Amino acid sequence: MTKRPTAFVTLQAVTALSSTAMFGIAGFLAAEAQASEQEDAQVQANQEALVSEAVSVQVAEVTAVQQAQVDAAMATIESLQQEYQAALDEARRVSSVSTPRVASPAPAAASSAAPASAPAASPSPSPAPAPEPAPAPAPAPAPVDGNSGGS
Amino acid sequence: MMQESPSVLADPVLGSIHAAMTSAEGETPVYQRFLAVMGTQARITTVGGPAELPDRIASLLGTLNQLWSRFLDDSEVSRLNNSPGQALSVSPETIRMLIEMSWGHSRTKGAFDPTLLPALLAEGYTSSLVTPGLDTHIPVSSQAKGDLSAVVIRNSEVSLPPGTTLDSGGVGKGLAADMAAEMAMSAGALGALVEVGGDLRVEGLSPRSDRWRLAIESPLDPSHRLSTVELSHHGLATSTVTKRRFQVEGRETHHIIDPTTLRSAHSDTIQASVIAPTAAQAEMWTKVAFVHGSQRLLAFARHHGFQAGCLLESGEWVASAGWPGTDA
Repeated sequence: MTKRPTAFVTLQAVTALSSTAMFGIAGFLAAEAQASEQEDAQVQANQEALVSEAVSVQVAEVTAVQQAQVDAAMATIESLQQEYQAALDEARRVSSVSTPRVASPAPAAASSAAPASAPAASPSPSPAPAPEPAPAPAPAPAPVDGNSGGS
Repeated sequence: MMQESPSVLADPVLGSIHAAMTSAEGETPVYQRFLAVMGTQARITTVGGPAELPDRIASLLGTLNQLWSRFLDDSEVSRLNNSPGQALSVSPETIRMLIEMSWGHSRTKGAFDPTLLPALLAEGYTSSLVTPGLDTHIPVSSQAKGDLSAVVIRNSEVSLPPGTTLDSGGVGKGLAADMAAEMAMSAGALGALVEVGGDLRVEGLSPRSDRWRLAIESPLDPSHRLSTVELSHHGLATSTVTKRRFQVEGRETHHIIDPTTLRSAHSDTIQASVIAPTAAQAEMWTKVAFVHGSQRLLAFARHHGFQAGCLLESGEWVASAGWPGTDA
């Protein structure tokens, strides 16, 4: 058996102790770092949750306001649509009343006694399509107090 | 003094229409009356003043017709025409008309000439167009064109030189509108419009307490406006050759005579409108366009400071630079 010198053995022991110590410090540091990361992650998560909640509340409020505005606008549009529809119906009604009178010639006195057929009426029992709305009349000129015409 | 006139209420031609309303403010009464007189239609609108004012104005218009009509043998104009060389006492209204005629004849350089009655008769305008049976009678010695400068006015007496006759046609309606508007304002009206056959005189406030809004009608389509103007104290007269037309020996004639040819005038203009201080002046100025053309009338307008607009044969509307049209 080889006999080692004492110094060598001492050196080995010191080295072993140092390594153990070093490994101990590194592990401590690693554990510490891991804990710190977990803590940071938790804080980050908490912050994100808070921000997300705040944003959600804010968005909900804004959305409610916008929705109210949209609803009001839609109500106005629907009201206008109803008025327009009423005017359109009235125009169609007037047009349907006046058009035959204007378009159809007066029945000739010499014509036969057979009842005159409705002008342009389709024999089909299906309802006639709604007439096109009458074109908007030209704006009437402003009234005047007097006229100067050649005499 | 003006003589009492027959009531024009019983006018057999158109009758009359009365209307009363209030001004835009709802405070000042506005009265309107429509009637037939001087062979045409008249409209009277008064703002404020007595309620009977339109009737008084209508009476005045009837009186002036009795004084100036060449279709009435007893009118002052007819009596003058048929009394060559004799001095006749006439009304102040007729004296004023003669002075207006002289002014117009001079200013228009003869384009307006009230002594062309024989030529007008020769062109076919012999009888009233609204009252059948009323004809014009003049001496056989009448010349186609008279001499206005030889007419003698001495106080209330007037004499026409032999051969000269007068026709109130080119100035009478405008002058009647002037005198009627003056009557309205003198009687306390805040505003008045008098229109006689398309010749108008406006004074003061309209029913809107604003200027009077007046339309120039197209002779081709009366519902179409050539222009709209707003005036407060002016005369506006329009003359056209599209009306009062006749057929003479296969030739188409009308009532505006060219003093140089003694026949119906022909130019580039079929209708002329003039805005001037009075309706009488405006009516006389319009004749320039038919005798000398639209450009001469516009030149006269620039020189004498009135406004003029002409509808040309081409259908184009031309007007002086300051024409106060409110059209877009």
